[in-house]
Amino acid sequence: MAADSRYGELSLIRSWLARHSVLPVVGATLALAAIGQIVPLVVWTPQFSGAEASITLRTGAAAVAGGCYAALVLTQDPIAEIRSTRNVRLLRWATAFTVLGVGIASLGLGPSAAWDWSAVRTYMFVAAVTSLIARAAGLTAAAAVLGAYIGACLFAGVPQTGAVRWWAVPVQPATEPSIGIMILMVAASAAVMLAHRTPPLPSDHRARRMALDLRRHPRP
Amino acid sequence: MNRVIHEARLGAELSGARYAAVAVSIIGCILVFVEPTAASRWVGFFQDTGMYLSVLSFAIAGSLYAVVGYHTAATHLNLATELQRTVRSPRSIVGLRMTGDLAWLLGALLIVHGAAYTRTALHSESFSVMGWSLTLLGLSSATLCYAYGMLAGSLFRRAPGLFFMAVLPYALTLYANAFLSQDLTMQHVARLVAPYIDQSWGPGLVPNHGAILLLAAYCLSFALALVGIVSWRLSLMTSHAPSTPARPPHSVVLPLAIAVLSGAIVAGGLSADDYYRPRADGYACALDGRVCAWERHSGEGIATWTTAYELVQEVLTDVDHLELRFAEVGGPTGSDYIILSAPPGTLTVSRAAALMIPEYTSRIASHACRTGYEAEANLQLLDVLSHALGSDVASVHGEVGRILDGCR
Repeated sequence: MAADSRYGELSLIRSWLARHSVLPVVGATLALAAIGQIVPLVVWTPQFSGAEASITLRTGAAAVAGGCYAALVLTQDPIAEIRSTRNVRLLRWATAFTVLGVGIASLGLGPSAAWDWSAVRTYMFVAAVTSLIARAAGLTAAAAVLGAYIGACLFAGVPQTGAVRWWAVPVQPATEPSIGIMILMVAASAAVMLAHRTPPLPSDHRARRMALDLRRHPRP
Repeated sequence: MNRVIHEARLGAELSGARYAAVAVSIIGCILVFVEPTAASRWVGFFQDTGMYLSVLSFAIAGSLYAVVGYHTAATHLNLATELQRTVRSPRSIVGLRMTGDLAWLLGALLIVHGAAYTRTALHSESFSVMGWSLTLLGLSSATLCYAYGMLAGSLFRRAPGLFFMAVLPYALTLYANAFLSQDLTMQHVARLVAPYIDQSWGPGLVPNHGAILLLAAYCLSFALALVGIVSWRLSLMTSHAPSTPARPPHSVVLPLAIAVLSGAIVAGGLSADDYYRPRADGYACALDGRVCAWERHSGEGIATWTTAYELVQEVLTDVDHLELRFAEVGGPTGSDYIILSAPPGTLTVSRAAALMIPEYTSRIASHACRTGYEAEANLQLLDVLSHALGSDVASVHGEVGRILDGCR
């Protein structure tokens, strides 16, 4: 019987990309990087100024891009993955590395065409934290926590003394290089590890039972 | 009425917004209490507290509201579950979901507002409700964020959209402040894009409730119109009758008309100065009218200014000829007063005296310049005093130097 092109490898990858919203995620990351290049960083109002505005903008762009990465890691079909005879883990790795690579390349290029490690660090940090929260409590919780975190950076991240508070350090533009590299390494490891791990089982009772059965008795 | 309460309770039971409500309360209260009193722009003044809350409600709470609205519209307005398993109309389901979510979220935001006003009341040892319109504006703008999220969620229904909604209020704030407010023709429109009052009024100004309520009415009516559009769209999608008219219902048209009208007035007729008005009472003078200031809370205000005035006078040895008169900005005083504007934060004697010293220095130098009066002793004393108070000695020296150079 002739091979049906609908079930070919290309079709599989295409459906994988569609199911994981990879193209929207990559597009959103590129768009955010472009916005970060265009929007001026110096904005001033009585309660919203200089360093805080810069942190907010950087965190905002990285938060959306990192959040999109979390959505990519999470929105998978566990039953389809378990039933699949192909190397799903490899596909997941490839997807994660592609998206992270696009994010690092696009967000890292600063306004003056110089490489900006702080933006990459922020992106990786946010991607890791949102992925972690999304796995534990869902995407809505991750988005809500991120929104609140950005607000906290905006309102109280940099007091009038100018010293950035410790919890705003991972997203501030000018972090000490040693601390920045440490945060980057830990966050990158966490983000890739979360992509590597098998996604959590569905919360729906019947689907969960089916997934467990499939995991215990895999099809040949 | 019982039916409305029953619906609200049912909506609140079904709503998943309780977790977001907890987050709103915790984050808001932390931000309210982490602010240092000495440098705060709003602690101690009820009108500035209201303004701070209007910004906080739109930005931080609005972010969470938008996420919840998106989540509700993207997941709970699902055709496969509620619409097919109940006899409710799409409009009823949207209304039920919205009232349930907002019951949690608005309750949480009111807790934050209560905490901020309590802190101000404790610091000022008084209580005032002058910020009520600003609180209403904050609740309305947060509700508008919820409606933005609901509309986006009903249209896109994709998980990554949650993160775009999370930063929507910040993006709107940046857009309004970075672009619209820089353009003279568009700066009033900025208020519609980012509906909050971000100014620093101090003790001499109070909210102009009419203008602020107009902005709140715009937010609420626009939010209702957006939610109406969501339920109308859902009705069109689920309608099986081919002859169903595609005309927008009253639940869309009426709020939209009010939003357009109020938005046009805000964009066309209200400037930044229209949101406040001078305070009618509370201005007092002391020391035979030589010092006038706004009454604040206990331990501050006219007593602080008077003490600072006497402190500077004590230091100076021969300043009878000066007879300087100081008045705090915004008061009904004549042109013979030197107007002082207190910086944000707690007004202390040293900060008030630091504002007066440059005025004395320049006057003493000018007087010496005109009359040959020996000013060195007084200037040195002022120098010592400003050192002790931590004021900007360099600028004082620069001013004196300029005056004395002009003499020669």
